[in-house]
Amino acid sequence: MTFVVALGLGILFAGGTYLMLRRDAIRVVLGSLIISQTANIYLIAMGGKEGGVPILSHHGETHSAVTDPVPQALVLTAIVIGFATTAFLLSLTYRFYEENQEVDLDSLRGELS
Amino acid sequence: MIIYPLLIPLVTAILSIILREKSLIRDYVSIGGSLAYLIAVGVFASQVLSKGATSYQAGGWVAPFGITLVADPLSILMLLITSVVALSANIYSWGYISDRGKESGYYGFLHFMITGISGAFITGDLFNLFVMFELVLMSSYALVAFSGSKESLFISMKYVVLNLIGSSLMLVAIGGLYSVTGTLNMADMAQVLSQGSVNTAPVLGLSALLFCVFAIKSGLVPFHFWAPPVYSNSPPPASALMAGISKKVGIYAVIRLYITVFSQARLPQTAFIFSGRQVSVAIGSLAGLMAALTILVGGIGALNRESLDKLLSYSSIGQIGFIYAGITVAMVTGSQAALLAALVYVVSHAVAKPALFMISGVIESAADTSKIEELGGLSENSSVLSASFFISAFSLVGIPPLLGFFAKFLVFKSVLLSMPWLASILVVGAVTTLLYVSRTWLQVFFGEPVSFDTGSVSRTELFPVIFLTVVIVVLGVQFEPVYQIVESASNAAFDTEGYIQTVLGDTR
Repeated sequence: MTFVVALGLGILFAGGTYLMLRRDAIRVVLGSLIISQTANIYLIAMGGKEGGVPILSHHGETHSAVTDPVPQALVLTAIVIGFATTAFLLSLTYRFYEENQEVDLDSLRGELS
Repeated sequence: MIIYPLLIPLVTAILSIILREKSLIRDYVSIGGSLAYLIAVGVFASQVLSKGATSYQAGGWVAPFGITLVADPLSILMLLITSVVALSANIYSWGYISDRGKESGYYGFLHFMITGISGAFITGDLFNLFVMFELVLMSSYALVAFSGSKESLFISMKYVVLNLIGSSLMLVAIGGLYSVTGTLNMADMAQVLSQGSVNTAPVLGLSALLFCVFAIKSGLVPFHFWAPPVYSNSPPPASALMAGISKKVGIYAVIRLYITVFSQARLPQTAFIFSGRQVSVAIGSLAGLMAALTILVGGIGALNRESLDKLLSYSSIGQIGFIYAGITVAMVTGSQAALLAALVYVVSHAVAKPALFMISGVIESAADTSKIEELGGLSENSSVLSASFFISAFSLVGIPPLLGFFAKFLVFKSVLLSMPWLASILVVGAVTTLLYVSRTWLQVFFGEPVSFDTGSVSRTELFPVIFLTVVIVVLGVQFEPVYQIVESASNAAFDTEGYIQTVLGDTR
């Protein structure tokens, strides 16, 4: 199981990095989205042992193992932050498109800076 | 009391967004917020410095489980310089922003940034540090794109993407550290690591990853490339705040985490040359190399810049290298004097660089250009401006009795004693600083006078410049109290036991 999760995370990170290196601004945004979501999955995976739903399962009769709630709380915060950043990045891309009528980053590099 | 440095800028930010249509009230609210912040930090600082470090458990949750806010002399020192620079950036914005008629939201971002910076300085929780970093970054994204030009949109986009990668790496490092040590509370983590019950090999890798994130934030080579375009495209008060203070957030995090926390972890015997040494020693060796490269890249890069704000951005890269040189020695040898020197440098740079960025902003708006070649003879147009430039620029060089002299002198002394090779790089850095500062001084303020519209320089733009310049001189002449605060700050950074006691208290 650990191996599968690690492999999946590796593939996702690689895919995100590949997209980020494209010329198209939209793909760069998608790549950054994938990378930040992969970090979230990694964070969940760091929770360690499998078990019941935290807090809720105390009401039942079983007091068996519960998963660690902390990484889940962290991921919630990280998702919100990632969402805000992605929204900002998308609106920035839209403004960028309005100014230039294209989203090709390479064609602009010579023009600017 | 500890909550006020967070609460005041947060409330001010929200108020200035609600009141964004009413220009006069919004300006007063913003300035009032910065003043209240300065006063609150001042009162709080005198409390902590006389009575010792304090902590606050948010929501009443006991220490390692809830979010802890801690203020020891190190946090206090950082808060003090933040409050001074924030107030002057705010006063500068007053004239600058309403002149350009694009006021909506600007003050909100400025104060959210200050909230994030203060939060990062007083948090005792690793994940909370991440959240505060994001708060600083989100506001700076918007400030970089503020002018709305093609170029600033492009630069802001690159900046966002770079920092998204940085944030994801930080999450990965934090998640890994949680999984290894089982805690996110920095004091608790220091305690767990000092007990030696966890495997420290992953801690080395994860802390190296975390160091890369802090290197991105503070612009260490090879992660420095974002800084020059970002600083030269943001509004001058925003770049003053970013170059002066938000770079120091990364530096503070390095000091807090590597000197207070990770110095407690000893590496296993399998760690080759670092076997049995502390994690901070291994990271410190890497940091030394990066600091040396940073000094060279920043110094040489600044030599031949065509515009004033680009030159200042490169110069601020180089100066960060000097600070890291001191921190490196502190990390590798555990020398308290080296950290003290680095912190004096932090104070001196945090005051001088914002002043220079604001002067460059004034020159750009009055002379309509920031190209060094096209400027000249400004000493005849504005004696106040040239005096301020002279004092803050030569404080960077390190001319006594200015504050920069003590900073350079102390860093040199501590580095020379333990890392002579790094000291030779520092000499090169100091010479390049002298070269680019005197080149700019001669080119911009002497020679053929250019058209300079003195009337367009408002008093609210000159006041913060004069204020920061006076601070540089006063702190240089009255160096004794600065030294005392910095000394207690560097003592606090090394006093892991005291930090744990402050946070965990009797619950251990």
